[in-house]
Amino acid sequence: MTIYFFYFFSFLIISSSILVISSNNAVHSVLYLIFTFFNSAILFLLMNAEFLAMTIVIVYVGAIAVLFLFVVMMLNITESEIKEGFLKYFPFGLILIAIFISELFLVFNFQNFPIPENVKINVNEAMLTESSNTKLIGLFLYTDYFIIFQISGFILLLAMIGAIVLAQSDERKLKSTSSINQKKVRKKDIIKLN
Amino acid sequence: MIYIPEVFMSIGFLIILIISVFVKKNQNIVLGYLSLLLIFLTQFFVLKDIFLFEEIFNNFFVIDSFGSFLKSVILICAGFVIYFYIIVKNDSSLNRSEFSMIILISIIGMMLMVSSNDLLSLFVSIELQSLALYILVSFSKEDFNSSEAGVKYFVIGSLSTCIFLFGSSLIYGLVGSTNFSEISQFMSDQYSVPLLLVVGLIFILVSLSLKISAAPFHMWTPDVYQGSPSLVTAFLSTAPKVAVFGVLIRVLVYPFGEIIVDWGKILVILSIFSMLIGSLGALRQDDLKRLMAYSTINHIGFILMGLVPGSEDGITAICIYLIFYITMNLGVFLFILNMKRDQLNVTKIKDLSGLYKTEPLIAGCLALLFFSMAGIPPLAGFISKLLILNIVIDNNLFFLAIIAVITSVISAFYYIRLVKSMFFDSPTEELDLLTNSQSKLLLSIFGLFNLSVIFYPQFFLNLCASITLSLFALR
Amino acid sequence: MNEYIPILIFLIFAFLLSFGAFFFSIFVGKKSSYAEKNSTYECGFEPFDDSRGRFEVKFYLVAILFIIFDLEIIFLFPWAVAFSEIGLFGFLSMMFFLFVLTIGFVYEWMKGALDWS
Repeated sequence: MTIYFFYFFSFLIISSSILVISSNNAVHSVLYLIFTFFNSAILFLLMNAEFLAMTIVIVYVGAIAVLFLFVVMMLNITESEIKEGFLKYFPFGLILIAIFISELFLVFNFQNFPIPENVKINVNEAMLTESSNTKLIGLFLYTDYFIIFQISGFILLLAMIGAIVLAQSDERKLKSTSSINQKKVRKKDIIKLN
Repeated sequence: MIYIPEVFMSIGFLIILIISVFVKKNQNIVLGYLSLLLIFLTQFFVLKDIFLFEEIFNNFFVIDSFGSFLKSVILICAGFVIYFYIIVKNDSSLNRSEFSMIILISIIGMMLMVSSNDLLSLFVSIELQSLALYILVSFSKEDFNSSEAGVKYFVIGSLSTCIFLFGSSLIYGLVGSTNFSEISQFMSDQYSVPLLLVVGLIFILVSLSLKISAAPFHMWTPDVYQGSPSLVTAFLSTAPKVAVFGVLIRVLVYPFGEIIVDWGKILVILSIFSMLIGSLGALRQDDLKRLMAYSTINHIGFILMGLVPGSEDGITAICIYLIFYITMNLGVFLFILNMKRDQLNVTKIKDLSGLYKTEPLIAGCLALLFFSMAGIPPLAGFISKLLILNIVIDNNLFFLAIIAVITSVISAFYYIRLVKSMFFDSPTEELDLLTNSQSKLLLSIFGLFNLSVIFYPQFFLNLCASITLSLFALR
Repeated sequence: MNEYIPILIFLIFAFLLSFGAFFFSIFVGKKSSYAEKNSTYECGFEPFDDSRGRFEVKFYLVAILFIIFDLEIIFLFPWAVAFSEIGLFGFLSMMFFLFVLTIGFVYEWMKGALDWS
């Protein structure tokens, strides 16, 4: 049963991602991209990775896709400009496709793919004892892997500072006057009779 | 364990971040001095434990003298850059309080990078460092070139991140762990190393070569170096290079030391390409910052050569080369920062002409630095190049040595062209006089350092040899 | 897996309903189109330029800050689920994470990034 769902949703992913790069309207591309994200979340659900599925829906669909829409609005590109470079970059794309397909071929044709023994977190064993994998992530992320977690906190802090550095406009400092101060101006302050 | 320099620096950074909000006057200068103070204190912490060996944070990071030494070098670079920021009159777009703080957070990332002992921690610290660098490159908002350079650097950097993740996921799939000691254990247990593991290592190598701009992954370098503010270029060409070289040495020598036949060949190709492109590409440049970008690529090729045998003395030579390379680069960029005509920054090569007539001292120091970059005896650059060539010839890589010598001669040509135009050409338009006495003093110190190293090379040799020992002996 | 079956059924039903409404209006609805009716409606005159205007950069700042706090919240979920078993260490590790981001929040507040003048 699950395998049919897998094929169905991966078919949807592939077709919608082809539509992302082939549609003429950039806003439509973003909508197809959202659909792709959504389907990949379902793929994670099929693999019992509920936390990842939820993260993809909240972060990618909820936040990043919105930002993508903003960027598309900002770019102000016409339809012909999107298509312009297609032939120029097509050979390069083909090379990339060849590399990745040969990678996959290598992985799946690997005869003696060893199952690692010395894993830090034995997923299979953990899945038997615990039911929810959100809890499993919580058990490791905040204790054994806490330093990674703290560094990602710093990355988020840096992203915050960076957004302020790059996007905050200083216009406010340049030419606004407070309306309260304007009201406070009295005639005797500015007109002097000698 | 909790007193490691990175933790100290992160806490200090948070405190400075809070202070920055309350400073109203001369924000950038005050925060610059505070950051310098923090860097000094951290330097003390690093040097205090330089001979310590300890695995910390569940083996995600390791403290050893190799890492501590590189941390100290990185801190010195950053300290100089922040000092330049304080003493040189910058564009108004750089005069914001965030500048020195972003440099601080990027060196936290670099210090974590050189001490990481796990692919996962390496990944997050590389991200911390490069995210800070993207922001620095596009820091001046009014300048269109800076934003363009930022976008280019960001796209290339994210590509490098993707490649790194792909490579490490392959390695994790095979080994079952991301820890360097476990990977090393896995490698020594195996009779024949699986091909897929080599592919994963190649992906990581490609990603790191994108970061150090080794050819053929150098395309972004000239544009980014030219577009970003000169101060950022000075930082970009020194500290991150040291950090990524530290990572490269640690990853290649320790967990993947068994498959030196595989990565050795790749390094040979990378270094040949870098030296050729670095020397040939610089010939037709007319912008000094662009020329420095190609010169960096050339030096990177030279340094990579020392890593090919993967031996202890090779890494010692690399450490020495990195120290001298930093002093040369910082000196030249200090001059570029002060290169102004009518209060506006200029970076063209022809602006250098006739510098000797107006500023004989500065022209002399600059000539020393350029000669040192070209590797002319008896300057510092010559010693470091000699050491690397010595290693290469000892390992019977004669063709590599021949290519290195030929490209050095070609690159010497364009450095000497610069010196010739400074001393013998008549000036078209004169540059502003360099009134900044601190810059003059620093520039002469850099020049003198490069001149005087020949009297005490043994000091650096002994220092770096004892540092490198920790990478091999304690495992 | 089974607990997601109702969601699947819900999705199928939503899909059918929306497509049904869409296609019925195409096939059953009465259509009479002419040039004036199809042209862009803008108070009687021709539109001046593209309707897709540019946003001000302020909106991006808000959107990016939103993403950062969104990610922070994502980290809170597994912590809350596993809270009873990770002990004091897990609690303190989350508190430090929140402390770092709160400093960022204070910073951006004082910098005026949240002002909307």
